[in-house]
Amino acid sequence: MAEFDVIIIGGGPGGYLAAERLAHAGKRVLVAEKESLGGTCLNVGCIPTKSLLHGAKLYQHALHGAQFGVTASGVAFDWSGIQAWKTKTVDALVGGVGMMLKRLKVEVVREHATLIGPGVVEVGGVRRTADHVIIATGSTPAMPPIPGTRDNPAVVDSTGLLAIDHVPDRLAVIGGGVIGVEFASLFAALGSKVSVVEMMDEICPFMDADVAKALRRGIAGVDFHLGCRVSGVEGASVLYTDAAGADQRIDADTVLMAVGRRPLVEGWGAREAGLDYAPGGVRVDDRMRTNLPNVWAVGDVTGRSLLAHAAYRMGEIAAAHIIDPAAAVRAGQVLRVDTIPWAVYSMPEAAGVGLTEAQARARGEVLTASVPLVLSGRFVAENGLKAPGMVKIVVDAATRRVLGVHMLGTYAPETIWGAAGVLETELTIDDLRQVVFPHPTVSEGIREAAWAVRD
Amino acid sequence: MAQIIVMPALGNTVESCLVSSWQVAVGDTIDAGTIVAEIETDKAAMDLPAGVAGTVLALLAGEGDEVPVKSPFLIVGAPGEDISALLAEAGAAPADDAPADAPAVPAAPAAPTTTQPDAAASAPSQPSDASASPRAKALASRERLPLSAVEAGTGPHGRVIERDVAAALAAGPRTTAATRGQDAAGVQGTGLGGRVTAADLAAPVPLATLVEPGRPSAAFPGAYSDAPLKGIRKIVAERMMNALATSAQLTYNSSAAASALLALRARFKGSDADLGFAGITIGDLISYATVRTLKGHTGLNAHLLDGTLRTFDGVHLGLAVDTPRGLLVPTIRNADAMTLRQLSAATKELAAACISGKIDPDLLSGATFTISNLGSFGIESFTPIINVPQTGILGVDTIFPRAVIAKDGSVGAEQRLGLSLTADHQVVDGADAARFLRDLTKALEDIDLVVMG
Repeated sequence: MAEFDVIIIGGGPGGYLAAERLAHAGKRVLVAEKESLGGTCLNVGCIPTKSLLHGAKLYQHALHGAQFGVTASGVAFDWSGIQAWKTKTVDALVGGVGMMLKRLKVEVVREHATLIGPGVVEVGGVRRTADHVIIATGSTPAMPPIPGTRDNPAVVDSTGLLAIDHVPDRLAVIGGGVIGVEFASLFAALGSKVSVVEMMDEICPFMDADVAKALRRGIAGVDFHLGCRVSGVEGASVLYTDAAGADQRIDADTVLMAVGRRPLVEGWGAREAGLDYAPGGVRVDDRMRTNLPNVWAVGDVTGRSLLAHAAYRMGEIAAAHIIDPAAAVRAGQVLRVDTIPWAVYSMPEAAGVGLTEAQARARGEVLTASVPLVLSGRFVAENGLKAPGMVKIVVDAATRRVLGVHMLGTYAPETIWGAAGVLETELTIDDLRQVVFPHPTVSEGIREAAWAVRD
Repeated sequence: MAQIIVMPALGNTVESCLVSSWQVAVGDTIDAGTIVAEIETDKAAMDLPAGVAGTVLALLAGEGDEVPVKSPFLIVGAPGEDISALLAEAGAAPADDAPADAPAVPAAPAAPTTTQPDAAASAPSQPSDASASPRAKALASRERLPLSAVEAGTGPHGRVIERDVAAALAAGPRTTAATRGQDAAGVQGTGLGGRVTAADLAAPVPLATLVEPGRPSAAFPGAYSDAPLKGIRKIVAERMMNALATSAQLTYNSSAAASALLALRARFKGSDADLGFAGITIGDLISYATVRTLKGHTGLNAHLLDGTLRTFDGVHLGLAVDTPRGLLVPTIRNADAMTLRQLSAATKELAAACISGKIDPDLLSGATFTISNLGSFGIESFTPIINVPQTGILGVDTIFPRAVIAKDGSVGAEQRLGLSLTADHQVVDGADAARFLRDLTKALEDIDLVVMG
């Protein structure tokens, strides 16, 4: 008999949530985590950036309260204080994960783990056995071989920038994805002169183009350079070819490399164990099964979606199939990638779920509608009439099913789960119109968009 | 004396009953036990006995009508009796004003029969629309459930009643809003909570393939290596897929008697080296014959591009060459203007350049027809893939002895050369391809004469 029911390699969102679900079901679980519990999300991703952004948002609110009748003098921020808040938040949440696992009697081993084969994992040099193994090794910032970036102290990845001890006067960001945009917004709000260089013609290529454009225009104090190919970095200067083919340069003090993240598929025995993987991730089916029997993979390492909440879902799916495969199938425990929402916590915030208009048009006839968020009374009361905000809805013209909801503006990340529910249950636009939204809320923008679709 | 029968009160909470069907017609003689109608409340369906004897004079409700409790719904009396007064009364009178002497229908006989299906109902048949009660139909319609999805009715005579529909709804597969009412039986849902989604209906996954516990062992046999496609391999891969995706290829197999080819090759081989014939191979002879034959079959010596067929007078002959770096297809330009010796020399030169990697890239394109020779590997027949935009490719197979019946009827063996021609049916019909092969076969069988041309 194996020592454990399940060994999980990696204590990030995918790993620790799977451990929680499995332990709740009475399974004996070991989690191997060589660094800190919570993974990228809790330590160097979602949570620290949100902690820092909150400071920046408070600072901006304090600076611009006059239109609401609130003035303050001597408004200032202290970067070390903002950093201290980040550390306090992260420590509290990491501690919480540890407490939760301890309470559930999950064995947490702070060691490097190597997959030997199905049911066998070497943890800290000791072979441990289990009926199932879940791979949840996560991802790491991608560092493309751009000349002048290697061993250049001015070039940092997101982890490095989170730990920076000062606000750079000038920040150049290579890559206009979620990570680049959030950091650009953060440091611009704190007074940095920020430039973003993006290879594509628009930032955040996963977003609906209209929303991405509105987001780009809505972020104050950031120069976006689109359609530009970075050719090298000299000191803290970014050299690139602009959309017209001309050579350009941006002089900065710090350069953030934010071209994305890559699944961590090496360094833990995948190849030696015969696991099927590619640079894009460990191959899994929609139940998170790999090619090896009873070896599962969840989260960023699969490359299916590099979002913490997608990792949560994948961890739950793997756990459900380990606990009771037949029940899990009946309950629809499969990964539905099309209904995973995304969120960006810049100023303004944005969130969305489902197909963009371009994606939907590639599949068939669609109806769309966009409405400004100033249709929401609460939005106007709290932001005024000029603040950026919109909701766009994408509907299948034939079946009238809602295919996508894309939102820019305050509370969008808090609201979007409702749209995810609409997509999961395949509601039509007519169904959605019957749903009652609380008033006044920003979420009413979704209802307005539903009614704005021309029949 | 004629009297009005009112809808009995079948329970404290029943306010009205639905007349599912009449079991009697005007003029029928009935006694107290005769079932006059099948009725349905929101809880049950039942047969309703008359309670009085006489002749049915009028039915005051239609099938499917809701009749409030204690309201008139039937007039019974003597045949021919004048009931106009009663009809007026029934039409005008509210339920409470029903004649006091109207006998209340005994409640006891009206006990629901639903739990005691009679013989007819004990063998449930697939209910049809007609055998469903209006309430059942209404519920099914509201819930978008096809009545055919209700397996058996539990009402009188196997009739589908409301609760059958409700049970079918409860037992049926859960669906999303978009798939509600569609036939989702036997489909395993992959949506929220296992709901059947639109995608599941479009491409149903059989339940059996989903419920096998755990994963069938798909482990690799030990270590493996991945090699991303690049260089020539990547180009070949793309061209092949493009060719298959953009043309209507099919292959025609034939064979030619090889005796003349073999004899001539033997003759060349044994000839004085100074004459320049010694190195000429069977492949060279086939190339030469093919180039000659193409002159009369321009549809195969052509490019098909953007809906236009461009046929060529001359021939640039492509030759597939196996190199250490993969397949290369150098082009012998103006092959139709060459003598056999020139063609042979050019072939050797180009093949050597390909194998050594020194081929001029310009010579890797522009062919108007291609030959791929796998004869030396003993291949008996294959389906070469056209190098688009060309319209044909000749596959050369091995020469091996085949049984033949001679003209005198004797059975013998003959060395024959296999030919596999792939042509693009967009522009080359089967008969065209066959004619080309027939002419090529003739040229090969008379190769000793053809080379004199």
